Amino acid sequence: MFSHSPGDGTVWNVLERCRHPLATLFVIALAVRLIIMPLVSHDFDIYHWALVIENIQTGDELYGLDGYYYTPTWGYVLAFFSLIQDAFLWVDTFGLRVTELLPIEDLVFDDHMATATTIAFNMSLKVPMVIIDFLVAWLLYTLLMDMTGSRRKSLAGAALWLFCPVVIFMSSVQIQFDVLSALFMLLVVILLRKDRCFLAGMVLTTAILLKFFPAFTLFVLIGYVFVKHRGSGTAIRRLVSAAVGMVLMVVVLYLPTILDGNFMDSLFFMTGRLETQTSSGAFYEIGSFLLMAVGLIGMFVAGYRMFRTKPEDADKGLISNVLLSLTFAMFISIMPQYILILMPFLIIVMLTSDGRMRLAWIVVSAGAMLTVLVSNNIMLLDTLAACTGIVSPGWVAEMAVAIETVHIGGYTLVTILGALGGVIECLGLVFILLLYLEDAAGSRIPRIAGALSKLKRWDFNEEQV
Amino acid sequence: MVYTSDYTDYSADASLSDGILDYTVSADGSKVYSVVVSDDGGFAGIDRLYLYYDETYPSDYEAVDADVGAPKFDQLYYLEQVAGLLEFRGISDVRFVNATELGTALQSDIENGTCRGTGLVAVSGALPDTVYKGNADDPIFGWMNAGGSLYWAGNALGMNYATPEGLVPVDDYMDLFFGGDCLYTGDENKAYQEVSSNGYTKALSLMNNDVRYGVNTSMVGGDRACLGIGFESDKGYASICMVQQGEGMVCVFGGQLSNFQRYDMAQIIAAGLGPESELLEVVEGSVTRGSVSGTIDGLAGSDVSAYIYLGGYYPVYGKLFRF
Repeated sequence: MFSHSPGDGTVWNVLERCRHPLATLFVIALAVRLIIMPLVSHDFDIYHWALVIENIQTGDELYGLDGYYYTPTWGYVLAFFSLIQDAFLWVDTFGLRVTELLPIEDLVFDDHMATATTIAFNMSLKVPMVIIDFLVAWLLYTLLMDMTGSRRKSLAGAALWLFCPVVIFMSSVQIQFDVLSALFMLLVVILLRKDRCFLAGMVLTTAILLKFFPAFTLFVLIGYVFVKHRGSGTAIRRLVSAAVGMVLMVVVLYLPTILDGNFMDSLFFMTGRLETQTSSGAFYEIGSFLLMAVGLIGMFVAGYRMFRTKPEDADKGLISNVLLSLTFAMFISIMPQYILILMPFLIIVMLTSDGRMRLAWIVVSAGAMLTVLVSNNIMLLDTLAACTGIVSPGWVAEMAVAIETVHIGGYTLVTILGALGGVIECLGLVFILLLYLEDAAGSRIPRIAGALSKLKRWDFNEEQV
Repeated sequence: MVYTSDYTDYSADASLSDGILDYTVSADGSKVYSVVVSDDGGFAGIDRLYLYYDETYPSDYEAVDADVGAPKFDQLYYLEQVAGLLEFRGISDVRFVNATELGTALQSDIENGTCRGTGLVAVSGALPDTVYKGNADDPIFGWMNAGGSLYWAGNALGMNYATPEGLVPVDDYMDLFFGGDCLYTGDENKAYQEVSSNGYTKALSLMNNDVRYGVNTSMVGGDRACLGIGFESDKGYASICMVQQGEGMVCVFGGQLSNFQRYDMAQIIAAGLGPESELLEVVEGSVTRGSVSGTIDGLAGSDVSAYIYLGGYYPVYGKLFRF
């Protein structure tokens, strides 16, 4: 129907672009998400996002009426979603309290709500999160193209992100903002590579104030700027520029909170978690501090590696060491959604090395998915039950009670499988570290080094573009 | 102050003439609304509210686990939250009082005839000795008998009273407040069905289904009017119950201190319900970036009130109209 001739103009160019393999990936990824989004939803987290938006719509600020416990960044994002809902959408009902679902609030794992958010409300938050999915995929594609020149690798990178089950779950089911963390962290790296230190500083602050894991990459990022610009003698000037960007963004993001006198309230999530861990007994307290130490050690180790990287390897070293620092940081708190921030870097390292990191991608994803599927099980259908006649709320509650009352040796099956998911996730992270330490392990632990060397390597048929 | 937060604005208006209620609801955004019409049986509703809190007096409620990362859930936080929830429901005359101030305030209300329309929220688990010492002629009873409304949560009402030195148990405390042993102190705390005798649970989007320390309306003694709403256990205990005390009432919210409980508390106070309230009509609809008007006819009686709220289970606005 459309004939191609050079200079056909905009219409042809747009169509040509739509035939791009990346567009095909996007269409398939979107189709998968469109099927999942209305059918399954996380009850607990989305209930709280609705609560935060409700509070905002009453005219309250983030930390007045109860419901928001994070640093302010995600609250601003929710406020923006609220604005969009009010100005353009027809989301008149956020959720319904379903009497038949009440028994799910009394299960051993008690993070379940009989107040099911509506499909319309869920979609109004899921769609933006899916857009962020796609933005990350596009950034991954462009970064890999820039790094490797291989369209095949770049497409593989985008696909490994878009079809990672944890990514799909967190944006299309749970609405966890770790996809946003991944986006910001990736942007920081891209901006640094392009020598936009001021902007990188601004984005890094935004990322840190969304969730704290990016803070663990700080030494790596400083090391990169230092190594890259050591020769030109401009490293300090660029670091100062980045620092100014960071401070400026702190002021921008925290100004309303400081003016309202809610600065300490904005740290609830961090201080509350710490308090929960320290009040759970000496074992948990010591364990928490040890895991925090692991994260900090990783921060220093990765930073040190970055400082020692040769200038010509700086770009590759940046990605590699960001992954290393984030991998260590994951041990501080093993939660399925947290791994999203390291996933883009894991994918890049996988595709720019011999591909053995794919095992980590599989194992980490499998562990995280086991945890989220087991802990949410049939209750992922709460919204469907509350808003449609496809399944009945009573049936969902009965099934949930049946599933969550299966006990093995004093623990529920859900608890055991959820913990197993965490262990598997940990193993995936350990595998990442082992590949980093392969050389050292080769001389000290020959058996591990031998096993690692036997893993099949990828050999991409390079298609240079 | 939150970036982009000041977009939304809501309002409602209602008038009653010849048994016909005209209402208008407006919203800048998109919201469901409910018009809950009641015959309140002469209950005055609440215009001003005391929140009792005194850190020098002992409290007697169980510690509550807060959500991960959430602030500590104690009585002060609870009360501050109730005040915030009432503000966007049109009740802003709210005052914290300590034990001494409470005693003075109740006495002043009694002397000035200002008990009607005045509420007291107490979630300390034990009333202070300035208003209650386990006797029928204590100021708290005089105040309620003259029209005051006590909103209570967190423990069995009247079981102890608090002095600065400690808690003092009271015998026959249920008789004093309810005229019979009607409070639930067992272990099966959750109710999984709505109170069936009226439609207020859905009409007001009530959420708490914990009935611990709740009232069984069939066991309230004497000729006291009472109204159970919310959720009801198999044994007949309701998550919310209003029991007449002379011209006033006591309203008991079941369960440990919780978020759902305080949501219900704010909704009940704002809706102006009393022990003789009767649900006449509920109209629900949706308004999107504009106004919606409607009428409800056939409303006989002289004690008609209409509580209009927007947002359903996620309320963002509420206003009570008394006619």
